[in-house]
Amino acid sequence: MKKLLSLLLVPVCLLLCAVGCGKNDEKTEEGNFYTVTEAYEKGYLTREQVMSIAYYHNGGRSHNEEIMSEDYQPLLKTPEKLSEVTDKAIRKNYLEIYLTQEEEATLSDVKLEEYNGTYNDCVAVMIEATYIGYPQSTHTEKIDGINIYYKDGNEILIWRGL
Amino acid sequence: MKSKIKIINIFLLLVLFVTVINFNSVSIFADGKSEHTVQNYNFEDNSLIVSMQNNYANYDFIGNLFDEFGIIDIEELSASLNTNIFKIRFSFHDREKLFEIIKSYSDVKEIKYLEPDFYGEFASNEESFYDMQWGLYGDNGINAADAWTVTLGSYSVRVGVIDTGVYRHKDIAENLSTGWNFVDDNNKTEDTFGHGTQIAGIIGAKGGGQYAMSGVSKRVQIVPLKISNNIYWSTSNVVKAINYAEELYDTNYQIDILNLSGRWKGTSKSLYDAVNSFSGLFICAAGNDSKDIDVEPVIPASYDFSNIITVGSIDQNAEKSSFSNYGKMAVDLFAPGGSIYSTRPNDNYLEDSGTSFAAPHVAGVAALIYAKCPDITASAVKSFILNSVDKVSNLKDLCVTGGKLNAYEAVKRAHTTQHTEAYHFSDKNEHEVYCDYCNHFIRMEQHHWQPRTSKAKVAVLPESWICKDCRCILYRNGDIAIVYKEENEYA
Repeated sequence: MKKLLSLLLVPVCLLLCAVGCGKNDEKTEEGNFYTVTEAYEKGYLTREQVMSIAYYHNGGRSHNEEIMSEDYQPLLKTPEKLSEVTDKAIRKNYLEIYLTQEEEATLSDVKLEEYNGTYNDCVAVMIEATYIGYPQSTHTEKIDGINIYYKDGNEILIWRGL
Repeated sequence: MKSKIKIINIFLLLVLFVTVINFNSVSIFADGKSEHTVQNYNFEDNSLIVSMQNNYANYDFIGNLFDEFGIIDIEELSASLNTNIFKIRFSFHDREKLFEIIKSYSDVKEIKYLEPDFYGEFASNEESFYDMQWGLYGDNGINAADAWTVTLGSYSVRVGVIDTGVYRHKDIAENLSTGWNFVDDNNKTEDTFGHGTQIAGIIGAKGGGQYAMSGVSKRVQIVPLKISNNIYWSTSNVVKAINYAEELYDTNYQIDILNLSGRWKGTSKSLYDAVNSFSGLFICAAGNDSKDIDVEPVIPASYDFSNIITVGSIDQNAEKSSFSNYGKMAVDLFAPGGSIYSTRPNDNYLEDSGTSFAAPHVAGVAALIYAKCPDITASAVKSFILNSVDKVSNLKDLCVTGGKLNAYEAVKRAHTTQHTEAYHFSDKNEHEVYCDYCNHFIRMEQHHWQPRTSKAKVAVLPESWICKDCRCILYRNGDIAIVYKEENEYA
């Protein structure tokens, strides 16, 4: 009888573990998005980190020649390339927050166009989604003397996973 | 001493004489200009602006009052403002005759004032913007000042701005109509973000007089179709806005032109269907990705419909702006989009760049064409704009036309080309017209010509038909039949 019970308990425990793991996975996919300005003002990013984000996004010292010396070196992206897990987590989170109006939208409709480094728990990315368009005017996000130039309305988002 | 008194007397007499002369030239114009002064200005030689007393502000009364001079049409200006102001267009072209009419009607008590329809002049405020608005006046601008000698636009033309709303800026307010907010589903379309207000200013800031900035079409109705409060523009709201405009088509509130200064990546069946089914003209920005969108399509810029114009951006040197998308098939033409001044919320102004600002230059020119040719089709407007570009060698392989927008050429071409063929209706047969050029009768066969729905908002409606084969439009205006010829090199 005990053997029978223990045999029955094994699959139940495995099932519970699987469910538990699933819940943990979902938790890693929950997070918040901030603009670079918001993240800096909340203290999630330092000025040096914002400068690095600007350097990667602008393609060098462009737009910041006055504050970046010719031998300026940005912080390392660390990791250099975003893992598939984090990439998916960000896209899923974006889908949940920004595409609620679009019933047919799926994860494949969200793409990370640009990765500008991870700093502490902040991931700097540019995202494009099928159902979201942007006004086609250039603009510059100015943060404590640092310029981040954008070709259109879309901006870098800072994602912080919970 | 006596000679001194004589000199003083002569001087006093001269002063008295000059004063009497000045009193004799009593102003008959709303702004106090004398006739002599006014004749030195440029104005339309076949139109008058009349402001009527309250109980007499209707088409029938005005029509009867001026009937003897041959009226082509009467258009109420700023109907929503209840200003009782109308524009009367006569069949003659004679500046002197206009002044005779003004003089002879100066005592008519039902009329508040009667004056010519002046062309755009640069008032002092506007002059301060002259250098900044290179897109309108610069060497590589769109030649707006010359276009305004043909028309300043018309309040019967309505342009929908699908954007972040429009702030009631002092330079736009008089040209601003009621629109719809698709974010909150109400009619509050105020713009707090700013982008939509910039687009509206380029299309239709009032210009002249107390207004600082000029749009391409100084007289127009801007209809704000608010789809967002920020940078995130959902396709579903855009689709709603286009469908809203389509529902208004062929009503008194018809939206003739839609401007969309945004771009999307990927595909959207609903956006494709919405743009394709819109009966008016659809102007969109090519996008700011610096890419060949023939190779990497973006939407709606890469759609290929007869009613859509995709616009890339040039700078002051007529070079493609570094950010602008291009495409020998997808981009139709280029227009000013680099360093463009326009209106911003809170009565501010801002210089900004983007294909966002190239598109409304084209929308404004389209509005001028609609003003001059009210019954024209969207594809014909597109054709006139594309066929009248200034060819630019640098743009040769970057767009369909290889050129940049020329407002004057487009408006002139639309106006003259469409009136080169005139026919007289036969006395005997309503379906037979006599061609003044070919000297023969042309029979309007039923299977070739079908009745065309005219805009209800035009006061005097011409009967019109559209040819099923060649898409020419023939409209009847009294005994005259006029054929609109569409040029189809690019459309």
